[in-house]
Amino acid sequence: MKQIPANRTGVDASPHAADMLEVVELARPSNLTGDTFAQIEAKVIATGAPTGSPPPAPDAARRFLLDQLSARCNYERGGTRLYEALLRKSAVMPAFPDGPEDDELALFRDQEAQHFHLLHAAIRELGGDPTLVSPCANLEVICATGVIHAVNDPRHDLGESLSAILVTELNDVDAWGSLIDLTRAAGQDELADRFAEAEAHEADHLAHVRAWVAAYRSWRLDGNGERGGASGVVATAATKLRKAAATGTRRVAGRRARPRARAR
Amino acid sequence: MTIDLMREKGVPLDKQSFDWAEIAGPPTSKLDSDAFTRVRIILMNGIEAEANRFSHAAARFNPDLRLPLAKVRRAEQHQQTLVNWLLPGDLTAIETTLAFEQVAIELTAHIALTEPDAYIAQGDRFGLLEDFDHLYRFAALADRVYGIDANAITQCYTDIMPGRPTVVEHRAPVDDVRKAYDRRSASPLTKLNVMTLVASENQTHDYYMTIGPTFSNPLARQLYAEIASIEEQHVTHYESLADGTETWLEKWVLHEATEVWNYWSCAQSETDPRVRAIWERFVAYELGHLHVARSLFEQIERRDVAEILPKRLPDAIGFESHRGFLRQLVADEVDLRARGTGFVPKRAEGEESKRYRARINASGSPSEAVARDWSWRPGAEPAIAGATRSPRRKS
Repeated sequence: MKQIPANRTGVDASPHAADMLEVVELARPSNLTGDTFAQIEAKVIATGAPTGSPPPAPDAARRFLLDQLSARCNYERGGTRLYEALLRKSAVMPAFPDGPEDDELALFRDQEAQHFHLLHAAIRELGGDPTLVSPCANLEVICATGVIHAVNDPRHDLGESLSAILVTELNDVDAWGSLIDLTRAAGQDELADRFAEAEAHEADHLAHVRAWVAAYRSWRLDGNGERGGASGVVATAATKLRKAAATGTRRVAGRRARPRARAR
Repeated sequence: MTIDLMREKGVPLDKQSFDWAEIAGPPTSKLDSDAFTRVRIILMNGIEAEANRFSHAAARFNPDLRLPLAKVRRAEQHQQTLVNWLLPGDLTAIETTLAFEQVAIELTAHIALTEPDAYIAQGDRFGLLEDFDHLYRFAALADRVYGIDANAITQCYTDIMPGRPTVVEHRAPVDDVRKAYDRRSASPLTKLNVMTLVASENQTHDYYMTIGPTFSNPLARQLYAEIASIEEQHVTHYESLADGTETWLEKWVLHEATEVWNYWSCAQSETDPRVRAIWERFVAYELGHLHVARSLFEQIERRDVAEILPKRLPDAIGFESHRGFLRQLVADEVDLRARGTGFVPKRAEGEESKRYRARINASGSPSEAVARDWSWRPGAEPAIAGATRSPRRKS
């Protein structure tokens, strides 16, 4: 009998692998009615129904611009929550060399909040309702759901949580660039100028998060920070916290992170 | 060594207490925990959900029992929460679904093999072949929509292959209601088996009804709707096996005994020491609840509880792979159909079910579409075949 592995998801190490692999030969795929995935799905797709209505405005261009502004507005509000979650983790979780300092995370959170207020005001100036959840805003919320879920899971350490946030920062930089282009194309140059600062902030966030994630990954590749099985996680973190409390420091010695390059 | 139900009084109800941190304690691991730890967690959530469902129904019909029912129900609701919250936050709805079907398969297989009543065992095998097929359909959905391998959840314990095709499981209600056991002559094990399967199937139905609409893919939404409908049929099937003339108090006592038996069975086979301690604690709590229900039964009905309870619990439920049994069952009984309260060859199926099935499948079969030409492969299907290729646009 094979030894049962700690992580039981793989086939290779399972004591029952040989029996399970017989299924590949034994099973005959289903094909009774001729119905297909695409056929059933296509009937619904063909109705062309959207998730909801765009923000009310006199013309399609303005409605679309408000839809996009609403998307960024919601995204930035969510961004503040991601950095708040990371700050709460940072207060109790072991750090890694060249990882984020709390004041950097707090600055990023505040900048996300600043962007939210900027967009809130911009939507008002264009005659929109900043509390309205537009279809594009809803799309951003759905896309961010996995990241929010991961960052709030206490079992993901700081580096893993930052890897999740990297997904949102990559998107955010691209989205701000696109929003500035759209705003200019819509003849709102003054608004586009105001957005430039937010775009620069987001490029800075991305550069930092990239550098932190890179530092974390190289630290892990050097054999650091590995935690035992799922049952060992809580104990390991608790031990590190106790050690940190005993020495009066939470930080692991190391160089400060150097963002490699601005993204845009 | 089983428990003496006549002597053990467990933990008194007023000593059963909780706090939020333990109720929502550290979860098990999707990656590291044994699949059967997850199976036991899901089963026990279902057992407690049934306890809650029954207790509220009983309270609505029995004004004098409302307070004792409420007291027991409070403890059991917290037990259910603590148990259900052992599932981790990264176990997605589709992954939990795969685990639910593994519960239905391995639990029903054990019960079908140990059931002393031949007719009821036949019915268990009949339902089992349908749940076996559901795992295959959901595994195809997991692969084709999310690109995940169902076997990472079921961990090589349970074959992923067609059973009785879900498309033919749709029956008219007249072919879902079965013959009930006789409360005076049925074995206590039969009563506990039936109640366990009612609980398990009812929670599966309720779970699919809750999460089905949270899926965005149109075929996924149809598939959950379709399989929830079969789970509703299964609840009808299993609950009709119980004698409808059992009194409310008799049923309450049987519920509590079922809970003792299930927690105790879990404790016998649990490999995670932290989870085993929970099962053991709740065996003691359930013995306390049984003591309350039994006292009321004896006071109000003036009957001896030995009429309805065995002195000792039956053997523990075996939480293990039933691969050989299932493969043989697919070979022998997959073509059976239900007719009235009986089971007949495919050719003898009644017209009412055939008409019902033709109507409900008129716009296409979600369970066929999702799995068309799909077979399980380790690590999920590497290349998605023509089944998901977009149809050509009409010009």
